[in-house]
Amino acid sequence: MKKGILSLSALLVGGMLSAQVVGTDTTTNAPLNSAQNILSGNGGKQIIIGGYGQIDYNQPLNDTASANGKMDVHRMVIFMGYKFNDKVQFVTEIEMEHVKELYVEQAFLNYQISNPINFRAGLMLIPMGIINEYHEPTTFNGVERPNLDGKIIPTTWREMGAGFAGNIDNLSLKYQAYVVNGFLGYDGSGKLRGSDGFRKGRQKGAESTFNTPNFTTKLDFYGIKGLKLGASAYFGNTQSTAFDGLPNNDTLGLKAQADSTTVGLAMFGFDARYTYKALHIRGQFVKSSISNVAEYNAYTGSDLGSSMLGYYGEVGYDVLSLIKKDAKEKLILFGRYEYYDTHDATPNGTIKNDSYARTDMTFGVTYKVSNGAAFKADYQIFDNKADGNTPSNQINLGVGVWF
Amino acid sequence: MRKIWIVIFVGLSFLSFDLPKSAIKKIDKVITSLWPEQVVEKKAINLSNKQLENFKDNKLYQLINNKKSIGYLYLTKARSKITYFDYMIIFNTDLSIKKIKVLIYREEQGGEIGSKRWLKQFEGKSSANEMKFGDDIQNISGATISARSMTNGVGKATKQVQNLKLQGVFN
Repeated sequence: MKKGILSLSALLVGGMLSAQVVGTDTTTNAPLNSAQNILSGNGGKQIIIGGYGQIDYNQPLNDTASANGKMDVHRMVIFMGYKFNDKVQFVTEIEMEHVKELYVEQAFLNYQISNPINFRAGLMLIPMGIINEYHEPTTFNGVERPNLDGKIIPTTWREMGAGFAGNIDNLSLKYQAYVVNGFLGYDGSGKLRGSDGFRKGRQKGAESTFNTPNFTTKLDFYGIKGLKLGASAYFGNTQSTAFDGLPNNDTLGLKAQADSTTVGLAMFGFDARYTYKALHIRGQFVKSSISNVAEYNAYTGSDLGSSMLGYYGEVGYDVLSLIKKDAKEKLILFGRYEYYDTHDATPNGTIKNDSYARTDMTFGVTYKVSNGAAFKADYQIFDNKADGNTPSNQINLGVGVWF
Repeated sequence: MRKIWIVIFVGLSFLSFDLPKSAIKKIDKVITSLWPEQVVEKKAINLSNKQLENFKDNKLYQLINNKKSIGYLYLTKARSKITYFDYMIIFNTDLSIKKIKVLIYREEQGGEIGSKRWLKQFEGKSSANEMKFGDDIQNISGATISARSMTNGVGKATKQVQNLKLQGVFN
């Protein structure tokens, strides 16, 4: 069955890629998929198929010992969008990670009630930070996504939910507000941990456990030319299988026990993207405050932190624009500094692990040979605050596509 | 006695609009804001069959006040990620862009292009200006597909109306 799905997906992708006409719509110059109009019914209904791919080669550098590199088709995602009518759309992304793991990244129905009000429900991306919503490999610098987004935000963060979204043109404001399912903190054992916070608690819409709703909201402002500012918030308790089947008249104190298998999360994120001609700047700040962690760690034996903090700043410049005025390609030189600490604070009973206070520096180049295709190369230096830690280095090479 | 001037629609030419009422309301609101307290008529422009072929689904109207031409109204569509959006361009008589407004945005993302401030970038430009996306016209992060699509569409529209002028359509 798994093999069948793999070969079917491979055929689909292969078919799309080989059938791909690298042409443009003469009216809009928008990149055209030959797969557009693949299913055309009455009234011009059509399914749009696209996708993105991230292919990596990571090579740690080591002075004292040989280190194996890793080559990975990290992500191959198929996007499908179907327009039922002017008001109703279905959007889905099916993802193959590391060639073996099949996931659904998004699957939601969007209903436009009026122009600034859309109602949507299904499996959705949590609007926190830049990368979680915008992670097509040609839209960010560096072969890999920033570790801040991986460890603290934990991208790709998507859960089942429902809510509202829209653009308010007069204010140049985009809003999103959803009620969503939360992380699974406990399923017989604790899933949350010090090194990567909530990452292992992501349910991803796969037969997820739900016992308490979470809430997330984001505002994006784009009224200043070239600048996009975002502010996100996330609140809620984690889910736990320990509540399942608990009698309403709890005389044995089981509820208190179950409570120890959950934590409360309040996460705030601020992000900014600024582009001016050849200059690209972005920055992000995230802070998570976690409650009930002392009880959770005591019960599960975990080392989850009670506060997580991270930020990064990145500058990129398209140097090709200096050499060739009307260049269709881009050669972006960039540098990024990241700091992320999943043990920004720890509760009583949990020792702060200094190796969790990490800094990553990434320097590299993104060679965009087309709007949707890039060759990437970068050099990373990883460091942390543990006593006597020596920084480790890594070279990454990669290919990113988005069509 | 103060007369209240309103925008009136020239009946027959108006029936050829296949936009919903809400979109038509938007068009009129823009016209009223640009020419307050003036009577503005919309007159469909006659194009030859060959010109219509090139024009495709776009619509072009002359805007008239007191029997004088005061501008042109251009209605068109452009692609967003999985569908398309409708927008309007109001041209000055010299064919420079006076105002652009998104009439119907259907897609669940990319709606940032409706921002008045972003659309201001196009004002005053004509076929004589290069409107290079990411350079002359700044992108909006997160709405790149629609922003690029709009930019290319507007560039094409300015060239199209300039061509029609050279063919004597506006005389």
